[in-house]
Amino acid sequence: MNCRTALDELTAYLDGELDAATASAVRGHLRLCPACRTVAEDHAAIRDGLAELERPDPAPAVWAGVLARLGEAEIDDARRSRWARWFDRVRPHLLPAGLATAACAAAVLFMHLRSDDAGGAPAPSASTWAHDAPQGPAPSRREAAYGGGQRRELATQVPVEVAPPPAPRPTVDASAELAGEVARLEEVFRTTTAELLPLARAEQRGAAVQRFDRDVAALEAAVVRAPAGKARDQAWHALVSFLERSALGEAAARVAVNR
Amino acid sequence: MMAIVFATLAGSAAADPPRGETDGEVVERGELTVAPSRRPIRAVVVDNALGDVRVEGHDGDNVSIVSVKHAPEVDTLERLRVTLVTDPDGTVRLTTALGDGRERPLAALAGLRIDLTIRVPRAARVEARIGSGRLEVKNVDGGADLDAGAGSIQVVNVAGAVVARSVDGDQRFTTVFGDLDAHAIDADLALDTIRGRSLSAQIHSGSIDARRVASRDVRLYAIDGDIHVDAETGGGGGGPWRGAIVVSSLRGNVEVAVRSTVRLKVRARAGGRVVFAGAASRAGRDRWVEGQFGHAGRPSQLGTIRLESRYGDVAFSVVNP
Repeated sequence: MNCRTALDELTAYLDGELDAATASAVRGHLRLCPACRTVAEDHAAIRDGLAELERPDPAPAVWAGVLARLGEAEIDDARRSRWARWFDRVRPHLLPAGLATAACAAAVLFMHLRSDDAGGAPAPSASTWAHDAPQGPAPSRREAAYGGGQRRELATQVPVEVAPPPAPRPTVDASAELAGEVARLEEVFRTTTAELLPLARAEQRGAAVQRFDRDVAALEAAVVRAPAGKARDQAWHALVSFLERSALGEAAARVAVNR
Repeated sequence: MMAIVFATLAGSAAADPPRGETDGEVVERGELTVAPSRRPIRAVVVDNALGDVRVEGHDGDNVSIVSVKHAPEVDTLERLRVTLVTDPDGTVRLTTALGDGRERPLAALAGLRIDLTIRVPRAARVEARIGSGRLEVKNVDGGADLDAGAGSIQVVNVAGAVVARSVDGDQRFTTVFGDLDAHAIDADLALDTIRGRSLSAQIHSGSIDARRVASRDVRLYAIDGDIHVDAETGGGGGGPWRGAIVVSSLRGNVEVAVRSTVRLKVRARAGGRVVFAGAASRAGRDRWVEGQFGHAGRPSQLGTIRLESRYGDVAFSVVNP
C-alpha cells in the first residue's frame, strides 16, 4: 500500500469502517510511514476534538413555548367543525395554523437533529421531556405537550415514532488490533501452505509419497499442538520450509557434500 | 525458582520517569541496568510486539535497557508495561505488554509503541521476537534466534549460529561469522559477508541477494523470486574447496558468480536458458547442463555447485580473485 492509497482510506480507517484486511494494510503502512502516521494522528485528534464539543441546547422556555403553541392549535382544530376548518383554510385565519405547522416542523426537525447526535453526551429522548413518564411504552413527542390527562388518547390518534438511539461509534482497540495482526499472519501461513502442498506432493514418486504425507501430517500436528506465540510461528515456518524444499525437489536431488 | 528479580521499567525502576509531551503524544524514557549475580549473563530473551528492538553487544558483563514508550496521553502510557525477569541460570527476559483494558479500550495501535534498546555482554546469546517493528542485532558473539512477523530483521557483525524467521518483513545480514539459517514467507533477503560454515536461506516470495558468501555449505531456495549469489571459495588461496552451493528457484531466475580458482563441478538446469560464462559445458541427462571450472587442487577434491530454475533462467560465471 502506498501513501496515496493509505491517505484515501484514512478516514474510513479511523472510523472503523474498513474490512479487516484493508485496515491491516493501512495499519501496516502507518507503522512504516512516519509522514502518514502524523497525518493519521492529526485526523484522529481533530475527530476526537469535534466529538467532545458540547452541542448547545435551547433555553427551556423556548421549547416549552413551542410545545404549548402546538398544543393549543391542535386543540382548536379538534373543536372546530369540518366546515369551519375548511373555512379556516381559505380565510386569513389560516395564518395561525400556518404558524403552528411551521412550529411543528421546526420542533420535529429540531428533535430529529438532536436524536441524530452521534458524538458527545446522548441527546435527550422524548421521554426525557415527559417529566412524569410512567413505565411502559415511551410517550410520543406530541403526548409530551399535554401531560398525563390526555396522553393516552392522543397517542392513539397521532402516533409519532421516537427515533432510535444513535449506534455507538466503533472503538479502535490496540489489543484487538494486535490479535488481528496475529490472525493475519496465521492466514499468510495457511495460504502459503495451501499453495505449496500440491506443488510439493507432485514432486514425490512411489514410496516417497507416503513418506511425504507422513511428514506433512507430523508437521501440521506440531502446528496445532504448539501454543500461540513463538512456538506456533516456528512450527509454521518448519512446515512451510519443508514444503518449499519438497516443491523444489530438494529431497530427491540432494547434492553430496564432501566434508 | 525461576525468577529471582522482577522489575517493571519506568515503574519500580524509576519512580519518576522522565516524560515529554509533544502535540498529541506523550513519550516516556526508562533505563535499567541488570548486573550479573552468581552467574554471568548468558542469554537475553526479548519479546516486544509493540515496537522496535535493538540489541547491541558490549564488553561489559551487565545488561542495560532503555525503553521509550509512546502513547497519545498519560493514562494510556501507564498501561504500556515493560517487564524484566532474570533467571538463576543467567538468562534475562524482557517482555512488553498492553494493560488489561478493563478500564476502557486502548487507543489505536498506531499511536502506541515501546522501543527497546538493549546492551548485552558480547558473549550472550540473543533471542528476540517482535511484531511489526524493526529488530536489529549487532556486535554479539553468542549467536541469535530472531523472529519477526511483519517486522524487519537486521543483523550486523554477529558470530555464533543465527536463526531468523519473518513472515513479511525483510531480512538483512551483514558480516555474520556463524552458521546462518534464514526463512521468510513474503520478503526480500539481503546477505553480505557471510563467513559461517553453513548458510541456508529460503523464501517463498521475494528475492535473495547474497554477496561475499564464503560458507562451505550454501543452500538458497526461492519459490517465487530471483536469487543472486556472489560467492567465494576459500579466499582464493588455490587450496581445495570441498564445499557445496545449491541454489534453486521455482519461478525466478538464478544468477551465481563464484570467485575461485579451485576445481568446481557445476550442474545447472532451467526452464529458460542456462548460461555458463567462461567455460565449456555439455548437456547431460534430464536437461542438466554440466561444466567444470578451475584447475587447482586434486581432481577428487571438487567443489559442487547445483543451480536450478524450473521456469526461469540460470547464469553461472567464475571470477578469478
